[in-house]
This record gives sequence, C-alpha cells and structure tokens, in this order.
Amino acid sequence: MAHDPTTVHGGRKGNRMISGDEIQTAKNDLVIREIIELERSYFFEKRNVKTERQRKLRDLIERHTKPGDQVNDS
Amino acid sequence: MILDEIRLTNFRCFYGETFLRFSNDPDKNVTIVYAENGVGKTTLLNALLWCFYGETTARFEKREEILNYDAKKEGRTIASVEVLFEHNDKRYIAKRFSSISSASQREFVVARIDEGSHIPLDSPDTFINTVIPRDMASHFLFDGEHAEVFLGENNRGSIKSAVRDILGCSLIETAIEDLQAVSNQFRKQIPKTAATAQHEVLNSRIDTLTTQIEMAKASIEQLKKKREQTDQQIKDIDTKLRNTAAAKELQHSRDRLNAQLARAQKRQKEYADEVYKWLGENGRFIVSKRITEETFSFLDEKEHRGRIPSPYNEEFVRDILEAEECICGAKLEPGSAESKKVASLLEKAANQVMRDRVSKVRGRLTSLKDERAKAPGRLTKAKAHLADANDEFATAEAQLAVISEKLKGINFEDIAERERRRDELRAELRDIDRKIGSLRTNIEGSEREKTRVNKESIELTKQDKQTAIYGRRRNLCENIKGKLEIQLVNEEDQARKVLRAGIKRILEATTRKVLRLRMTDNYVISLVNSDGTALPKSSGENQLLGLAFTAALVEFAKVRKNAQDYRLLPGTIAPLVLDSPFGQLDEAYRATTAEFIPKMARQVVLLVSKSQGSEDVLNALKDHLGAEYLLVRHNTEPRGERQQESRYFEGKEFNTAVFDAEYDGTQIVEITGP
Repeated sequence: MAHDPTTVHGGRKGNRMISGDEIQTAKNDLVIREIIELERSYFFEKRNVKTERQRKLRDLIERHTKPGDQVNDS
Repeated sequence: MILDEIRLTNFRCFYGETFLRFSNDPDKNVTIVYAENGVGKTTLLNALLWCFYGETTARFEKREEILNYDAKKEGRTIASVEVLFEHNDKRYIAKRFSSISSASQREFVVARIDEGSHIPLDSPDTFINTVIPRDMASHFLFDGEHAEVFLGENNRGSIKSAVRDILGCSLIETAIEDLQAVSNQFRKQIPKTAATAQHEVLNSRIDTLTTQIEMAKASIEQLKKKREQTDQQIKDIDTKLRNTAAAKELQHSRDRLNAQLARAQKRQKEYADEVYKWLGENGRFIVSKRITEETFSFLDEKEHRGRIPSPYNEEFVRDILEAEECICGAKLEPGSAESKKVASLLEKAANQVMRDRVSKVRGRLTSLKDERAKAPGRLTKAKAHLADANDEFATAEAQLAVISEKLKGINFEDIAERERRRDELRAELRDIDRKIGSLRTNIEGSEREKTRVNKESIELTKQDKQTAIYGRRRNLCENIKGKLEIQLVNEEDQARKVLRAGIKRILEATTRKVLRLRMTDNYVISLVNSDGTALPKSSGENQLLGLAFTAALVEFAKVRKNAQDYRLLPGTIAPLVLDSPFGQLDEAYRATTAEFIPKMARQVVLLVSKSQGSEDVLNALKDHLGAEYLLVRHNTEPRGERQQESRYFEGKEFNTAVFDAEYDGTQIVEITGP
C-alpha cells in the first residue's frame, strides 16, 4: 500500500533534509490517490460520464497547480 | 460468489418458469448440465451474464430478443432471470427484467436475504461489480471458444486485456486516458499572444502528429479486422480442404491404380504376344506330335522289315537291265523271265533323292520331337505371366470401380480452385502484415517526435508568464500519466510471472508430453516441444493451453481477492461456468482435463453435449459431481419419422426431445439434485 504523502514531513525522517524530488514525489502520490478515487467513484456508473469525469479531473489538476504557487512541478 | 440457484421466466428458449439449483458443496463442487446443440446451454450461460450485467456474449444471436416467443404470442410481456447467491457469508438475490410493454419498470434489483426478508441494495450495479467486476466476468462465464481466443498469433491483445482485467487495472487505464485528454485541453487553452507564436507552431505540429498517429492506429484496426476476415477465410478453406483430404487421398489412389492398370495391360499384351509368338514358332511341334509318331513308327516298321533303307539301288538295277547282263555274267534278254524278275526289283528300289528325303524326314522328325519336349516349360511360363497380368488388371479395375463410386460428386477442379484461393489469401495476409508493420513503425516515429515536441511546448509555455500556468498543468498531467504507465507495466510484469508459473503447473499436471510454455513479454503465448519447436495451434495441447490460461486467471483473481493496492480493483472468487470447454480435445485429453476441472475454481458449472460428456469424462468427474441436469427440448410438432432420442443416467431413461408438446422450448430436468 502506498504511504500517505502527508506524513513525509513528519519526524520519522529524523534530521535528514528532505529533497525537492521527495517533496514532489509525495505531492504527485497525493494527486494520484485523488485521481484514482475520482476514477473509482465513476467506475461502476453505466451512464455516459466521460465528460463529467474529465471536467472533475481538470478541476483537480487546476487545484494542485494554482497560479503563483512556487512548487516545482516540472 | 457462490451460486445457489437460477430461476428463469420466459427467458429465450426457457418457456414459463423454470429453475436449476447449483451444487455449493466444496467437495462436490461441479454442477453438470447436459444438452445437445441448440437446446439451451449457451442460453443458460447468457442468462447469468444478462442477470448480472444486462449483457450477453458476442456470439449470442438476436441478443435483443429476450422474451420467449410462445410467451409473447400468449400476450406475456415480461421475461426475467433471478440468481440467488452467497457472497462474504451473506445471501443475495439478483433479478433482472425485460419488459416489452413498459420501460419505466426498474430493470435490475439486488436484495440481501436476511432471515427470509429481502432488503434491496441502493446501487445494485455497483454491488455486482464489486462482487465480480464486469471486466473479469467474461473470464469466469465463458463459452468454449473463449479458451481458443488465447491461442491465435494475433490475439496477444486479448491476453493482455485478460491479464489487465484480472489485475483490476481499469482505474489506472481510465486515469491515463483522462489525463491525456485533460493535458490536450490545457494545451489548446493556451492564450494566443505574439510571444506564443512559436508555441502555435509546436501546437500545430503536435496536432498533426496526433492525427497521424490516430489515423495510423485506425488503419491498423481496419487492417486487423481485414486480417481476421482473411484468416477466417483461410481457416474455412482449410476445413473444406481437410474434408476433401480424404477425397484427395482417394484421387491419389486412383492415379496410382490407373498407372498400375496401364502397366498390367502392357504386360498382358506382352505375355499374350509371347504365347502367340511361341505358338507361331512352335505350334507345329505340338500339332505334329501324332503325325511324327506315326511317321517314326512307319519308318521304324519299314526299317524293321528291311525296306528302309531300300535293299536295291534304282540306278544299279537300271544299269543291269540296260546292259542285259547280270553281275554274275548271266544274260538278261529283254522280255525274258530273268529280265522281268530283275525289273521287278525296281518296285522296291530307291534312288538317291528318295534316300535323302527319308534321311531328312528322320532328322526333321527328331527335331520336332526335341522341340516338343521343350515346349510345355516355355508355354507354361508365358501362360503363368499372362495369368498374373490378368489378375493384376482385374484387381486394379475392381479397386478403381470402388474408388470411382466413392469419388462421385466430388469436384476436383473446385479443390484446385480453393487451393489457389488459399495461396492468394496467404499472400494478402503477408501484405496486410507488412502494412501493419510499416504503420507501427510510423506510429513509433510520430510518438517519439510528439513527445519531444510536447516537452519543448511545455518548456516554452512555462517560460512565458501568460502561459506558464498551462505549462505547469500539462506538466503535472504528463508526469502523473507517465508514473501510472510505469506502474501499469510493473504490475503487468508481476502478473505475467504469476500467470506463467500457474499455467506451467497446470500443464504439467494435465499434458501427456513434456511441453514448455512460451509467453513473451509481448504476450505471444505458445507451447513448444522439448526440442523447442512450436506445436500447431490446432493441437489438443494448445486447446488445453487455453483452458490452463483461464484456470490460471481464475487462480490469480482468487489470490488477488484481498489485494490492498488502492489503484487496482481487488480480485474475486467466482464460480466458473464452462460452456463446451473441451473443444477439439481428443477423448484422452478430455478425461485428463475433466479430472482437472473441479480444481479450477471453488464452484464449477459444466455445460456439455452428449459427445463432450462422455463416459470417460463423467468417470473423471464422478467424485466431484454435486448436481446433474438435463435440458430437454419440447416441440409442439408431432414426432413424425424422427427417432426417439434419449439418454440413460444410472439406468434410468430420459428423453432428450419431446414431441406433440404444449410449447416449443427447453425444460430443465433434474437428474441428481444438490
């Protein structure tokens, strides 16, 4: 099971400096988890939900990439 | 899921209300349903699929016509299928309706059975998909040809999607697809400014490449369909040629016998000529036997009497008479008694010519006698050869008559035409493969370029303040998409290893030969002999491979039941319903496979025809048989000239077809209940 990315900054990591890559990975994992949950919520729907699902995904991506946010997501 | 019971009401060929209870005993886990072709085996399988998902298998004909024809004639409007089952120690009933009068009625309900009362579930579709996800269902409820799907050279796509289905990759797959779509939306949304002119160029290039890739993929799909059709045409021709292979064999025999006949005829003539020639040369020896014997006898007699050779020389007697004086000096006056006496000697006298003749006659007669002595051997030999040739001719002629009778009605020009067409189709197939290969190369090139241009576009977008946000969003979409793609590949890699090991183990337990499984990372699946040569796809071993693959999938789904990865759908334990699973397996393999079938899943439902459910198969299954049913065809028509059709189970006779019945349809008859 994937670890909870929100705990990366916790004390268990000791005094080691957390690299930018690790922060980015944790952030991406969080996004992935949200995306999969979104997909799961539509998975058993029989009606045509592709447009709605992709709109919600777009919202999700926008939420994680707010203008002015300086996080390196490259 | 464990199936308890299925109840059918006016569903397709099942008229009225009928039901079947499945064995859920873990030791006697096989429920077997016997039915001849066209009586309802596949309908029963499809009743389960339709009840759970509202769908039927692709091969199910007239899929939209659910209501039984006789029921419809009687004015009934609703058909339904109910399935009672257990899941996680709770009992449920799923019911689906098809109504031709009202569309408003709820089509599908699932209720939990709690102390006799039915508690309906809010989201029946979601619930069923949690019990057995639809994508996995076709691997549990399948008809016999399902197994064969995995055998074709070009069915690696089917294998890949089967692995992904059981792996529960659907969420990841849809996420990848959606991320691509959203990334494209962001790209197209980038505002057009003077500074983004370069971006416009890249964007346009990406669109062009995307179109090229899509068109190439569409062409590949079309070509694949054409390939399938061509392949099917070749298979059809092969089947027809196989059917005429016997005729071809007979034709070969006919050619051989015709050649034999010609040779026998030639020998007949040679030996007949030999006999005639001999008769021409030596016949006189045979026919002269009597005259020779008489002549010899005459000569011998005359010799014996001293007349041959003659005692007097004619020339000598005539010289004495002419000299009128005997060699003793006595005078022989012409007309005198002495002269007359000497002259009378001329009657017995022989001249030189006569003596020569007698000598020649004797020589010739001796030759005739000698040749006649040799005659029987030569003639008998010639006659024996002639008799042999006659015999051979007669035998070949009789065999030809038999073959000719068998070959009546077979058109050999038609066979030649088919073979010619087959060659043409194979050439077409090669051409299609070349085109597909070329399109794939183009796609790979375009995708590489697209990735490069895409990166360039994202970088460019990020550098511009006005467009930077779109660049970041696209970047996030692409990053996550890439991660998910890598995860998918890794998961598949693990799944392949598990399946490979599962199939190997199953094959070791069931096949007669030492076989090795070959499953490449690209899902090309085949069996090879110990020397490394691939077995023909039509072989029994490969039929078995299809089943082994299915068994391994079922096992894999079971192993994954408690999988915790949130990105993947968990596996499931589901009943395995096998419609005519033995395909082209020979009797020995059927029995071996039948031994293995109870181990394939916790609960197995086997739908078999008489030939598939042979004595050996039933013997192999007998320790695991929990329930047995027979599907009986009812016909309103009278029997007429038709033979009574029946089967015997434990000494009891069961009719498999009923005539003068009240309805046309199928009845489920219980032989042994669970």
